[in-house]
Amino acid sequence: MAHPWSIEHLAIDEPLKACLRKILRMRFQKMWSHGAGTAENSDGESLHDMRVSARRLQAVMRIFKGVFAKKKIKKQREMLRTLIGQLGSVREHDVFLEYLAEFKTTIPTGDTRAIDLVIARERNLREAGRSALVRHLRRLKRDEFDLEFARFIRQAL
Amino acid sequence: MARTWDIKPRRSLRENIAVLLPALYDEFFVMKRKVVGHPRMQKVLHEMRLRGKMVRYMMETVDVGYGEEFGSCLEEFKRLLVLMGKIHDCDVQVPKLRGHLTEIRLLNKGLTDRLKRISTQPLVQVVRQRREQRRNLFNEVRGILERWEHENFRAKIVRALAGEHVN
Repeated sequence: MAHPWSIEHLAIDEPLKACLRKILRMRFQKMWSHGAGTAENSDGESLHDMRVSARRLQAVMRIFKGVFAKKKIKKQREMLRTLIGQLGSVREHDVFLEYLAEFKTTIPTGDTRAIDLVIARERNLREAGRSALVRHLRRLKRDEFDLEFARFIRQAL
Repeated sequence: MARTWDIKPRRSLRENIAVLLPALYDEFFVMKRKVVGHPRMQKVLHEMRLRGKMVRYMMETVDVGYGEEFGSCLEEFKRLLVLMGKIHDCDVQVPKLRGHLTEIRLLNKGLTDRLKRISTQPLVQVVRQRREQRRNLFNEVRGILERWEHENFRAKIVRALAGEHVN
């Protein structure tokens, strides 16, 4: 059975570049498809999906970087690194907040203000991180990063 | 990890993977001894986890081309990385929690009215819990890595790569 992260219709006996075209396109599309949800919803689900897709795209680009012209791939990798950094910093707060909320339910009644203070601060930090991320996503959309990446695949492979 | 892999653009993806995946695995597993011998070295474990992710993502990308044995190797690999991820969460959260604890203790020191002081007990408890969870997770990771070395998990991956071909 195919894994959820499998690349559909990938024929791995085909030449490397043909396979890479398919892999990069699919990985990018999956990542980009979560962009709107990440910008609009604050629940963290789309953000998590976007992050995991972006990291898979980054891994392929890193492992096969020797196939691409150095100059052409540099810009794409930098854009991706910045995006992953911002997604990751928000996600880190989400994971922590999730854990704290769960932990709070296990504390017997009493003074929970210390935990509440940590939660409040983490939420503030998360919001600040999310605002920066949303600004970055808007910039990527305005700059048509999707079209640029498609052009990169066409020219580099 | 600024390593450049020996890629053969004129060959097929399968031919490249046959060389690349064992090399990625070696790059990952070479850190085993250091990690297992130094449970508290967070950076080393984190680096090993990042290298492991490269193996996992590569396997996920190409698994349509291989058989069941490959899939079971992938599942096993994923389980290890999930555990490593949970350890990383503890490593990120404990210093944050300790920072909060210090701040609240300072705040309490400045309060003359004892009744207004904030109890730090829940924070002490959560730090303790996180540390214990990390210890248990680390023991699990260590057990898996030892087993992989003993059973030669690398050879299992190589066998899976050479085994049944799909598509």
